[in-house]
Amino acid sequence: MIRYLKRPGWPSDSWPWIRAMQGELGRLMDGLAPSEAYPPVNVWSNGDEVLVTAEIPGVDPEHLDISIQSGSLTLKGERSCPEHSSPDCVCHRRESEAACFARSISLPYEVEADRARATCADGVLELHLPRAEQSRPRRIAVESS
Amino acid sequence: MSARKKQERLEGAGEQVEERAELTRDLPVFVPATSIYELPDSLVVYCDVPGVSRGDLDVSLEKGLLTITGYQRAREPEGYQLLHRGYGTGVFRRSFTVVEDIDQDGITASLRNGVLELVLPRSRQPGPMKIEVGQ
Repeated sequence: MIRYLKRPGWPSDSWPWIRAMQGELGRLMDGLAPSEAYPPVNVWSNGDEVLVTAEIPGVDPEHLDISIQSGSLTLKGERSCPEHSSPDCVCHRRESEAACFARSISLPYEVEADRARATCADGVLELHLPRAEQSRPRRIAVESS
Repeated sequence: MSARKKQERLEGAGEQVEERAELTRDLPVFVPATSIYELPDSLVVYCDVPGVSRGDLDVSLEKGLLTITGYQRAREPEGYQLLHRGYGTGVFRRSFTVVEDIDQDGITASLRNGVLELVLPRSRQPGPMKIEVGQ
């Protein structure tokens, strides 16, 4: 290792450079690693609206609370699982639990909550959040003197 | 609580069968979260398959091997820019060996809010047979 560090053309002190590269790689891997936050969401934007989809299997849409406040979207809900409480029942594996959840995500721009649309099908929530007029970019004309 | 886990992280334990066959479609394969309960007269299986509609679900029981396959109808919205991806889409697939004697004609499947419920009734065994011991 020392031999390589002393090669001509390398900076005299390579450690800051290696540390910087390590930090960059760490950031890259953080971006690739799946988030454990629940529910998992995908977020898209086309300039006119934000589209948010979330996987929420086992959640009754009636038990879902969606709120928007100051550029932040909050999903709250409760996942129910069938209970087999009979003493004769044997549970071989249980990988889904009944639980409450809450997750907030930042939106890329202000949206109009009054015009938001939400649909839920086959355990996937789809939210369309139209962009607020005041958050659209405005072109400013430069007056000639 | 996640609905899935990557196939390569799967640990082949218990009655679960490790997948060997490959899909002909080039899609990511996910192992759906599954719960299994044994009742006196049936086995009940719950499987998280969000984004899978009724027509894209395939359940088979052959030679004691129960296989659940669900194709997600993933659509990348056109004209949108992806800002954050918290989950991918592809195929849910999982297999289990079923040791109990199952009445295959009585199996029922239902899909509700992205959760598949399978009820596998035990086949009705005849009562204990008494064998007379001859002289």
